Amino acid sequence: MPLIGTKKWFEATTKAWNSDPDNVKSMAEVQESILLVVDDPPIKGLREKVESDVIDPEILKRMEAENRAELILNIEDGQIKEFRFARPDDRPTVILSGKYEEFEKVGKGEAETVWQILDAKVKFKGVLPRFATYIDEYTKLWQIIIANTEVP
Amino acid sequence: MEEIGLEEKFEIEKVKWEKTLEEMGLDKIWKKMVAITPFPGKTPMFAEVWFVMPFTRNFFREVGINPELWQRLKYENFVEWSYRVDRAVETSDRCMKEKIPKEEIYWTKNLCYLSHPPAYLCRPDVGKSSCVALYGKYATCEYVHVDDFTREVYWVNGYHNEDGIPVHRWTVGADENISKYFDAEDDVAFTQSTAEHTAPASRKELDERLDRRHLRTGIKIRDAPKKHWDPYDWGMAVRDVITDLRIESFPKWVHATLYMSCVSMISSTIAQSVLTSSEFFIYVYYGLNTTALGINYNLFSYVPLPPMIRVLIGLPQETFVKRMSQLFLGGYDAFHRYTCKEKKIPNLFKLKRYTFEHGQFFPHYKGIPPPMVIARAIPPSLQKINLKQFLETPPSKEFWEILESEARANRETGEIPPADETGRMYFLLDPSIEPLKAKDFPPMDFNEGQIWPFDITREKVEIMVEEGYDGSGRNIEYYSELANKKMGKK
Repeated sequence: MPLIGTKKWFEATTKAWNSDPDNVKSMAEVQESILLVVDDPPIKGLREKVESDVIDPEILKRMEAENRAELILNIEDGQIKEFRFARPDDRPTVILSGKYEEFEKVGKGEAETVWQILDAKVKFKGVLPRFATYIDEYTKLWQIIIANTEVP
Repeated sequence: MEEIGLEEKFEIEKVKWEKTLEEMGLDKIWKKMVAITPFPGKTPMFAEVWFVMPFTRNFFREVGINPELWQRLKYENFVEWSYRVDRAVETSDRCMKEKIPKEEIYWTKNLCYLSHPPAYLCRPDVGKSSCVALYGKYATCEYVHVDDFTREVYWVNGYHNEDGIPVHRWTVGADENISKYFDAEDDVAFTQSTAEHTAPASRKELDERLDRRHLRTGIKIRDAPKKHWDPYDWGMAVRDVITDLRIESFPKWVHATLYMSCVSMISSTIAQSVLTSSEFFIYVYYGLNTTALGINYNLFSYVPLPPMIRVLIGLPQETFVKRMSQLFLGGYDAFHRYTCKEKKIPNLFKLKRYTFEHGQFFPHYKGIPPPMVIARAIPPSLQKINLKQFLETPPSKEFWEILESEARANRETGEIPPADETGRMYFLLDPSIEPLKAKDFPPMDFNEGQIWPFDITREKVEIMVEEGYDGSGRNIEYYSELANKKMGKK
């Protein structure tokens, strides 16, 4: 599995989602730009393990300084069109923020998305009816991300 | 224009409500919240409240709500309301006979639930005069409680009042799911009649009384909420039957205004288990002024609505809370107490402890908001709302930041978009004043409660405790002023 935050990680996650027609079909009507604000990301030791061509040194430096990773996941017609580090000019339609371990719990099936949000462990900002409609698909998305993540 | 029938009207309201839930996405979320419903697969009326109240979201999960516990809570809710008024009558009698020294006016032993429903504490002398002002010199107030899932009336109980004081308790009926929990004390209180109270002669009769029908519509008391959507209409429907019963049983009271106070189990338990009086007052505000929550029906009803309440709920929330606190508690804020002992209402005690330890708006706000922060709370809403409805003065810098980032408040207009546009299903509170913690206070006895100044902060509580204040209300004015001096406040 690729290390978190590397180019291969973004690619592998994208491929894992897009290669399953059921995933794509389940979110076929979804057009969202999802900003993931992940606090306490498991990046300790990442610097020693990766080369500068697999992770932008500036981004790594900022992540370490802020102890936070900001990722953008653009979904169009059910496919992940882009998964990368966020940029200042991104205009997300959904913001999900919380500690990495809280996203990880959903990904590992240890917690339910709805309760993570109602319990303020993951904060949701966006159009509620759209999110509510695809809450199971969002859960699947976390599962795929976590399943394709290796931490240093 | 052709008048539509009751069933058709009910169906229209039901469809409208279900459509709102669907459009907001709440129907889908509710299906995922099985951990907090005693009856999975069923949607309770006022489901909107279940989403936002920590009481249902947290406590029901904590205790593992189930059908048995649901029925038990209904019983605990019933007895606590009932005995509160009995105790209030004793307290006010005592206080009228004794001359209470000035420094003991706010002693929690002298405060009582002299309101209808008995949900907020007041000074006995103030309670008496305010009850006259609210309901008139002679009034019969009956509380009508409805199950959120079955929409059945499961108890009707209340008091006849003379000169602002309850003089006689009148239990109209209570279903068998309530009476099955009765102990010996309850059997005396609710299935026997004395000079102080009137009740049907047995548990069976208590239940059967709810089958009394409306003379014109033929609808049973028990079934009124199944035929009428809004709590105001429940009151209208039930009031005719109760009026007839009052003529039969108490002809001497026919001159008195008959008030119906109608509420569902969940709303009732929220009101009964509030931690503080300021918290209760915001819920009264929302219950009677549901536009503040973007809901187009009542969550609670007074039938008829006392004119003074109509005027008060027209005020901004913050002003309303301050006026109510001034009116009933001289501007202080009380930690509400239970009248029944823990043995009788163990689940309500668990709820109170949970709320005291975590705070009323946990997990989005950790701790107990000071009264002046509660008065300025911004609720989640299903419609667009405006800060002007809630606040007397503009938010602090820190509060603005939260309002903008979490609620997308518009600084120029004060408008806040509805929950479906932002996903905000929680209250927002001013973070510039630090939340209070349970450990800040002297040991809390939930059968006694405590009373504190409305302007408390952690610092002020600390100083008052250091100086010897025990939360009981004795000499509260002295300790409050002493703390103000030490804090350099004028």
